[in-house]
Amino acid sequence: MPDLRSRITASRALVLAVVAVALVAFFAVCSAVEEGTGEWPRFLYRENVIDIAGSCAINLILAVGLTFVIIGGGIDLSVGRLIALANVMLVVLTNATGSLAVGVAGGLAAGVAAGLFNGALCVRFRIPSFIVTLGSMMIARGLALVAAGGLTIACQARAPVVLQRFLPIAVSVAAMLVGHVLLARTVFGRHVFAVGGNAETARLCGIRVGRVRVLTFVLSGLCAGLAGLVFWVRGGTGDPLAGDGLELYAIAAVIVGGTSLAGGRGSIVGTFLGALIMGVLAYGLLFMRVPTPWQWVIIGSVVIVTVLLDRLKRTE
Amino acid sequence: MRYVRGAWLGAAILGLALAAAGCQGDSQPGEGEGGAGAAGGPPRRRIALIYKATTNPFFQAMEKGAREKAKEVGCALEVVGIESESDADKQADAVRIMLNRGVGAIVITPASSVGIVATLLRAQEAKVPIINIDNRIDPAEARKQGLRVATFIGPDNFQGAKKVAAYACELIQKNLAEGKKGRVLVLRGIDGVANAEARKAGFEAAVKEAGFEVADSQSAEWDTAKAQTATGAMLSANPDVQGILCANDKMALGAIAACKGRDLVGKIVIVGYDNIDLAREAMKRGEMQATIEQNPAMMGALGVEAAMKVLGGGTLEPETPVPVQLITPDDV
Repeated sequence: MPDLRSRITASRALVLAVVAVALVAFFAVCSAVEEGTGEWPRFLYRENVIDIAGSCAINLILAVGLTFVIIGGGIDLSVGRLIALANVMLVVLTNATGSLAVGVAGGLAAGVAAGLFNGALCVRFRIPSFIVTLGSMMIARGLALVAAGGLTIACQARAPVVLQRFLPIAVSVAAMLVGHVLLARTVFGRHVFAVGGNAETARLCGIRVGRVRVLTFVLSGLCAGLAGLVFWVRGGTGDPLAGDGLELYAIAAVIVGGTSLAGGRGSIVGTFLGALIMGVLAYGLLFMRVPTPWQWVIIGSVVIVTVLLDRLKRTE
Repeated sequence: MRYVRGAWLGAAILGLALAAAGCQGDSQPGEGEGGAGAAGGPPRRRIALIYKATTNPFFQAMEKGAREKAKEVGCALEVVGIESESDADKQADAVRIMLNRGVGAIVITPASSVGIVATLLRAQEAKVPIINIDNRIDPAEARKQGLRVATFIGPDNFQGAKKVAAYACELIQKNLAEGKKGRVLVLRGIDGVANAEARKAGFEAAVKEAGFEVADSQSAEWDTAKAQTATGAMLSANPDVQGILCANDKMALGAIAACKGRDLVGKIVIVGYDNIDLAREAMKRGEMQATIEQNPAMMGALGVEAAMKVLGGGTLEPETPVPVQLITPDDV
């Protein structure tokens, strides 16, 4: 059984890697054809590759946190809006106290607190996480607007230009690595799989199911907080409408990455590749200036086709 | 743990492929101009138009105007819009992409007038001139970060609002009993937003000039439903007003709805701003008396023209006001 599972996961990663490379190659060819000069395509210029990574960062960070929640058998719809809440808290507190450290701590704390709120409600009152996080998504939106006074606010502190480009990438890579180790190499990670696979069995094995569940939501909230920090690094503002709809991109990345919505199965590596596919696609379509309605059609199709490819390969 | 190793292998291959790709090309943003010129051909003049809200007819008209002008003067125009007016991060990506594509100039209407500054600094570093149209980049933030914009091309919201309010006062004056002072209501946009503040000031200036007074003023945040509620409340407190000045057409539609409930439609002068289709319909039915056309197509065209001029070594005025037109039922 472990052997079978291992092959499935590895083959999935391979499929995803092939899809991602194919996407990059596709956009590179499009870019080269459009340029028509026979030179190295602009899509693969170093600057552009760095910008692709930067543009994937927020989604990757969100998706890492979500992977824990989804493997644990839950869902977190609030993460997109939590970006805005954390981002606005960061800027408001920084402006009020004059200390960026306080702002960053406040932003991350807002994310963690929201995660704790989500997790505690789900576990204590046995409300489905879909409902709880649907509600907290709306609450977060409202609170972010209240805290920002309804406007995008400028921040007194500003990240140096170099950091604006590289910090988002560094944070996302760090989140991914820490997430991977936590999920694949620690007792907590094994507990998350167990709880998502079969909560009752996990309980009988002595795992504190409720605590594990709450922790997955806290991790998700923390990741949303980090994404709010990254949003500030990239734009320098507190934007109460930041991250609007990003929860769907993040969920798509997790699912494309092979994590089961039913819980109990998944990996951070898959999530990384899923986020990369989603990110390269969104960026590439913008790069080729595809009209926005078609961007949706194409992104949706790629999500389905990627999952389909994997399914076909598995039944072979 | 074998599956983990297999998975990491996949990721590693991908990472290497990307890294290899990234190292081959070394881009110098903005080299598109000189680079192509050096190769012997004529210098390619590529201009980027970056706007917001692709579903808004206002910006569709802007794109059309820009494209027509680009065709006329023979420059390549690359247009990229974002779907949601509030998606500042995506628009910042669009700016980075356009720089990486090597455009010579950027014409932009920012989704976030504060948030776009940090990203535009990269254009400035690459010596890519920035033409700001429609929605003004926050001057305080630009000054703080040292961003210089080649020119701002936008509608004069103050003059537009003054024009439409003056027209409303004129209409009211005609039907006013001798010696009676006109009283009007004002529906404001989102307080603190530059456009909203300018229009409010324009309304107030016209009312003052006409010798009228503002009976009450509320913000309905550009929203039809909120405007209906606010108008209802203000009418209850001030049943004797003769006009309602609305800072956009969507709020004017809300004011009309509130007046319908009180059988005041046609008896009270309602004016708006933006000249949207629904407002034109309302004017045809006599429910609304005037609005303002902001000429988005002209804004797009002027943006392209300014970009060409600055690329050709010319200098630009720091500001180019775009004329606004009063639209009355006679025009529709």
